[in-house]
Amino acid sequence: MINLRVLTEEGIDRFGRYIQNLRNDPNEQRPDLNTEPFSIEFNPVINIDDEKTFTSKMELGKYLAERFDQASISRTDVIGNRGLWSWMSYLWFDQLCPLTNGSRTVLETAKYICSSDYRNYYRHYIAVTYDIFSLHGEDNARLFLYNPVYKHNDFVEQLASRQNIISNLNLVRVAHQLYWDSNGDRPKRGAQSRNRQGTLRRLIRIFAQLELTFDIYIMNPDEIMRLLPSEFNEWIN
Amino acid sequence: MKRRFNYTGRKKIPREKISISLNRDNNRRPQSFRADMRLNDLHLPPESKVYIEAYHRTEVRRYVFGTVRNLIAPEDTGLADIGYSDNLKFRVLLVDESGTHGLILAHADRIKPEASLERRAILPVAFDDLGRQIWRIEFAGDDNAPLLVLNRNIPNIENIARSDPQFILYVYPQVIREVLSHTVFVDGVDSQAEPDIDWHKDWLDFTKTILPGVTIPEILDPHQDGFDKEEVQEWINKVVEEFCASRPEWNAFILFFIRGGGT
Repeated sequence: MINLRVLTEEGIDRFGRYIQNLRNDPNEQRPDLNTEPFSIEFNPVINIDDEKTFTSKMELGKYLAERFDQASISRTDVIGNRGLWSWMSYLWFDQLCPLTNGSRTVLETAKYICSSDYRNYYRHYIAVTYDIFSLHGEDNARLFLYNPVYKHNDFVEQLASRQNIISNLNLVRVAHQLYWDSNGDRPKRGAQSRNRQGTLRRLIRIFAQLELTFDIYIMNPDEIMRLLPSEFNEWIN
Repeated sequence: MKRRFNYTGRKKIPREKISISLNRDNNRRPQSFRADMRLNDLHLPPESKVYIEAYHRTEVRRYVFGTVRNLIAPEDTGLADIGYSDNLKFRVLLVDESGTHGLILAHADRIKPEASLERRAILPVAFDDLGRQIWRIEFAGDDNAPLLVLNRNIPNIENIARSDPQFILYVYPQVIREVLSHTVFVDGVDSQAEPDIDWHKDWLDFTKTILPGVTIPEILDPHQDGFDKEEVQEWINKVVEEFCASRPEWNAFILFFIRGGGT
């Protein structure tokens, strides 16, 4: 176990250089950022299991929510703390960027270092996981968090990046009603397709049209569903 | 820019009719807000409901402000439980709730509270490893606002960018040209008088301070009828020319070369 820490700007900078170097040398030694001036201890003290392995983002979201709840830390207290989320990526980096057969696929830095730009915030694997889990709860986070911690799916890329949608629980519920297969415990096959009718990308366009005309904030999911064009019928049930 | 249809004739509420200010605690965190709205002359049904939403990132809170006829601020306009309370924006919605679904009759969006308008930098600076590039513009701020990114590997680059005559006269004219060109030719400005996007307005206001006597072209969206590409390019050229003419660094710039600098 380790006490939760927050990367300082210096720590973030050092972590960023490590990630950059990894792209050229997968055996680059990870720097020790668990000391000042690279990081400071989070207040109050919260123990984190640095050896815990997460099978999915959902498990990660649940774990973090439990740790914060037990310490009476609210979502408001941590959600904007990019140093905190970046430290967690540092802590569990081998899970977020696994070493496979001696090589790592290092993706864009924003997936590991939490961006201060809200339009890239959702790209961070851990920040967006906790953000969605704490905002909508387990039942309404399934589409976003079903897959491994080192992968974003199209629902995160397309829905979580749109503030007006991800912040609206009723729209998120509509997306679950249409595309979540509760028997298979995963999204319905083809829901992320670009070529079928009534799929996710089309739903986003329809949401954008509806919100210009209707006050969808106060409409429940069934009311919103009734406004969808018939192309979505095949996804219901 | 995005093209939007308006089949229901919803109106845009002019910004000058809305004023929102934040109440902050000692740590400058917003605790609540106050809104002043003048909606009577919009010619909308007086029973239309008035809502204000505060939002940023994944957070949104709605507050009920009565009706157009009878505006009443709610007792609680608290913002303290919003996760992202910095850079909050607001939208005002006027809704007809007489039918099955609430119909939006008028709206104003992306409203920034008044306090945050004070001394807002129009060109924030960031530092990054740019390889052998000295600088570049990234449209990565709020609403894709421009950001001047400087190569952090250059010693003392922060001070150079602030005061070196060579840097100022080589770089900033091109920055202005790039930002204005992007504003018009990439984004497009739907209304020159009342741009939808805050940083567009800030930059247009900036050009007015440089060229107070020159009118900004009326159409700044290549997709709108009447758009005159040459007129826009000429205006941008004038802004850049006047910016250079107004800078006090010219003599120092020339002196650098007279003394053999750069050879």
